[in-house]
Amino acid sequence: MGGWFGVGGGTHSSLYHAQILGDAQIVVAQVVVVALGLAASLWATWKISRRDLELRATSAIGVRVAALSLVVACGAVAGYLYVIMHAAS
Amino acid sequence: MTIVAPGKERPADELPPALAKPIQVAVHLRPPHREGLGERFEATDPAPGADLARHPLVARALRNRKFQFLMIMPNQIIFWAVIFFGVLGTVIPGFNFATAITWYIWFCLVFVLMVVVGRGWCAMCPFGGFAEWLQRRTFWQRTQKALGLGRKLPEPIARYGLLLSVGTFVLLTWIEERFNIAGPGTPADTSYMVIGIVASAVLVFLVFERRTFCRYLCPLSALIGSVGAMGSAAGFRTRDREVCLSCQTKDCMRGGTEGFGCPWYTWPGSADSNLTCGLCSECYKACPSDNIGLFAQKPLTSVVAPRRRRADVAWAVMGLWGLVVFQQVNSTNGYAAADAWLNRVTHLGPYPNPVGYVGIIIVVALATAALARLGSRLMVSGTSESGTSEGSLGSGAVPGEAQGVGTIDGRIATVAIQSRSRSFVDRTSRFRSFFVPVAYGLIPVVGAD
Repeated sequence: MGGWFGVGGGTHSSLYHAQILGDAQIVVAQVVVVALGLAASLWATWKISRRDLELRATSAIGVRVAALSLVVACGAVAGYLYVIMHAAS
Repeated sequence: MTIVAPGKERPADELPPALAKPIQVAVHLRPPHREGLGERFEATDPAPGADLARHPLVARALRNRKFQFLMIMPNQIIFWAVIFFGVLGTVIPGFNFATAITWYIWFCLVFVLMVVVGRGWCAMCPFGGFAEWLQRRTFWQRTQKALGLGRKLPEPIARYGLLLSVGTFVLLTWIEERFNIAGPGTPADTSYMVIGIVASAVLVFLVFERRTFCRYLCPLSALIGSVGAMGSAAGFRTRDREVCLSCQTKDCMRGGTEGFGCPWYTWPGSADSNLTCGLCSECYKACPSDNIGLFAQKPLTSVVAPRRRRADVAWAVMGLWGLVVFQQVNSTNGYAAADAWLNRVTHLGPYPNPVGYVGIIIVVALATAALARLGSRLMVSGTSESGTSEGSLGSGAVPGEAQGVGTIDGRIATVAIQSRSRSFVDRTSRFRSFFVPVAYGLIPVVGAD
């Protein structure tokens, strides 16, 4: 039992050495996850704009574009940083 | 403040009687304000069909006082094993139970849980659970006498809500980065980190009442609370709000014979998101009217629908956004050079230099807020500074006004208070009317990051 839980022994399971994704695939997976989050954020912000922002906006379309642009900028920064992280490593 | 006391007229030279705490008296004694309930809550009220507690098996489980104990206990065993094996096990991180469980499995499961269930982890958390057992002096029974001082978190601190948790999360992340605990570094460091969290929780639980630690100070509270808004658990909500408004005892808040008062200081009757529902089921047990259900909701409902958006949530999202950007930037060569330079200049030790670490988080948060400010300047009309006290006064309050019936010198008096809230969480401005909703919209990006 000690070996199983790392007390005095070690784990020799082949699972320990298994690699699910290669380095390039990890970056793609990370960017895809951020893209999914961005899509969810865009949908949520679209809904929020209609519910909360347009009430006091000088331009209904303008405020929506402004809100969505901010979300896109954040998503783009996150995705870009994952790519340059990979380049750095 | 205006005081109108019906009955005998007061002589002109007699000073009016003073209420010890007039605002609190007025707020606590005000009659239920029923207008506008639909406008405030309909958008966030889950459909009756989404009440999971209507199912007999679920209801039976939730009624059982051992419900939360049985959820906590397996994690309790695992995390005491983490402490044990981290200290006594092999020093090879990849082979050690403590590092494998904590950083490979638990960390991933918590993220999945928060995105799917909201505060699902909080319901089974071994840290708060262990401290709560000590505080209540029982594993599951309904007890009346708590261990500890039972203090309230001072209002000047509590008003910053989730920001306190962001602060502890930033601190914990810095410690983790400095000692490379999740690197994974030495397994014993993982154990010491867990011991530190448990010790902090116990200390706070013994000084402050209920789950003050979980709501305000737990390093994960801001993360789970904000990102958990994407989740499908709406939490425990009232089934019929009229029943709640006419309830004289408010056992869900104060505790009843079958259940403790809400450990998270949440009144189910005014909940419009899953932000502060720890899914512990105490309100469900305590309600004498069987008027509380466990509701499911569509994903992202608590992001899109809340009518009372909170500034502490918005700034917490900005803080977490700054933190995730740091976690990405710190892998770049440019950061390594900047960190080395900062360490030479400030002599504040190896990576990560605390000035650079906190600086990046603050700069990213403020830069994003500045963009929101630009958007508000361009697109939002007016310069409103009017306060809204809905969030701090509860569902019955009218923004900026509290009204009620109080007792002065044994006589009933109508007390009307015109007050403008300046609470950090609630006050409004042109900037906030754009920034706060947009910050809520950014939650999925931050969660995915």
